[in-house]
Amino acid sequence: MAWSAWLPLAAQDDLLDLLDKEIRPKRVPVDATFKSTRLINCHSVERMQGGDLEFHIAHRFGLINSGFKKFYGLDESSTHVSLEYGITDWLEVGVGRATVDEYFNGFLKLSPIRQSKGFPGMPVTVSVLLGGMTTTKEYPDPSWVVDAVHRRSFVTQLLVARKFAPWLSLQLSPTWIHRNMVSTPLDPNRMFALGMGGRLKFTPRAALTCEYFLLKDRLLLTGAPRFNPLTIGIDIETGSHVFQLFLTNSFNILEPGYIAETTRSWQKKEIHVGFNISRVFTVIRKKK
Amino acid sequence: MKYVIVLVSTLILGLAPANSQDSLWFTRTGRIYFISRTDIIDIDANNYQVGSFLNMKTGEVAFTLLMKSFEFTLPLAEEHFNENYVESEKYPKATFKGKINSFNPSLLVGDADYPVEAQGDLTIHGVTARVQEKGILRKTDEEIRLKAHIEIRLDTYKIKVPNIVADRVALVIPIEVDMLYKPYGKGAGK
Repeated sequence: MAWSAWLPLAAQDDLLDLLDKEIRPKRVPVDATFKSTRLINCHSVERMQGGDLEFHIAHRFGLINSGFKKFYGLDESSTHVSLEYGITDWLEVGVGRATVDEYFNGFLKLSPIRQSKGFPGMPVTVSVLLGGMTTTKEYPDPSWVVDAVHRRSFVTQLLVARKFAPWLSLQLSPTWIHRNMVSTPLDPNRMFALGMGGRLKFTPRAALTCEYFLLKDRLLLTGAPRFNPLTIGIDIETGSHVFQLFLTNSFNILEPGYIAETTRSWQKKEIHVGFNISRVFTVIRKKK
Repeated sequence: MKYVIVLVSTLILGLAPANSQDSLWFTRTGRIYFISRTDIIDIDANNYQVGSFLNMKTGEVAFTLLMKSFEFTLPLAEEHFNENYVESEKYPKATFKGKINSFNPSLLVGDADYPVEAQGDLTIHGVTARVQEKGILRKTDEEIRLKAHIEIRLDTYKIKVPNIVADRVALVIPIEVDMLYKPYGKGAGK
């Protein structure tokens, strides 16, 4: 009995131990699952925090194996520029423009669930991407009667990611795309693809990234054979910039494009060099 | 008989430190502020969830805080701070444990500043350094306030600043400490 009276007091001798007992661990959200709002092509679970504005530039060069005449692909380009703003820490809006098929796009990204340690913990971060886009391209044959509605495509993505360790994050991205107009009546308007990817951080500011999409019903698409997009790259962070440099077989940058319209193949060495640059500006500072 | 003496004396000894709990003052809502000042950008953050004990008998002090609880005015700086500089997932806490030199609680009288100097171990980013810092204690009816202004060098705690942002992060960081203690077990803690 005497000993039992002693023990807790002995433990309290150290004020730091007593502090550990008094300050109970609370819920701590896990930050920086990925460096950028993009895994590479695919959106990551990350979004701008409230008050931050991102200027995002995505660029794909032509094919590396196109020879000296086309300067190994550097002559050709596909770009997408966008402005993306964090309304709150869990809600982002973005607008952009892509050169391929002259698309204007807009999207909402919500992050209702954030991976957290402590109590109550949460094993994953979940973000939802809702996007729409419309092509402003003139159709080759003016006799085509095309309503504005046929120019639109949509994307819905469920982004589920977990930071397993500071050096390892993985993401699963079930994706539904809907294209109001497709090449022939045989092509499905609505398609499902499962995206998967991750990053391996090898220094505090650099990471190896990889991303792959499995497109269901890929073989139903008419015209040139489609391939699943595979992208491998590195992320380099320098203060408020994130620079992503990568190799990919997709030339398109928006989801319906890179998922359903990738006609190049790694096996045939049809590879593009690409990069994304992200610059973040703080528009509204948080209150002190 | 011997056993009874041992038992009784153990009980008395065992109970004696229990009284010393009365000399413990505590807060879980202490504030620590830091700022990195450079010509290009000022980066600052507050932590309002600092836990601390002050032993009014022995002059011992202890602090603990979670690095993730720093609230930055620049949201992106918060991510960089945790991810790249202090590596919060690897080293979630910063602590200080020390003692006020030649502490004399009877000098701490109502509404007057009592300058103190504490010596102890400051642990940040997994690195512990022996430090000596000045502060001011002030007692009111129900509270004791501890204020201190200290400075740390990032290299002491092996916090690396890459060359590319070297002009944006100060190497010496001033820190403001502001603790409002209440008697432990009476309103504060427990």
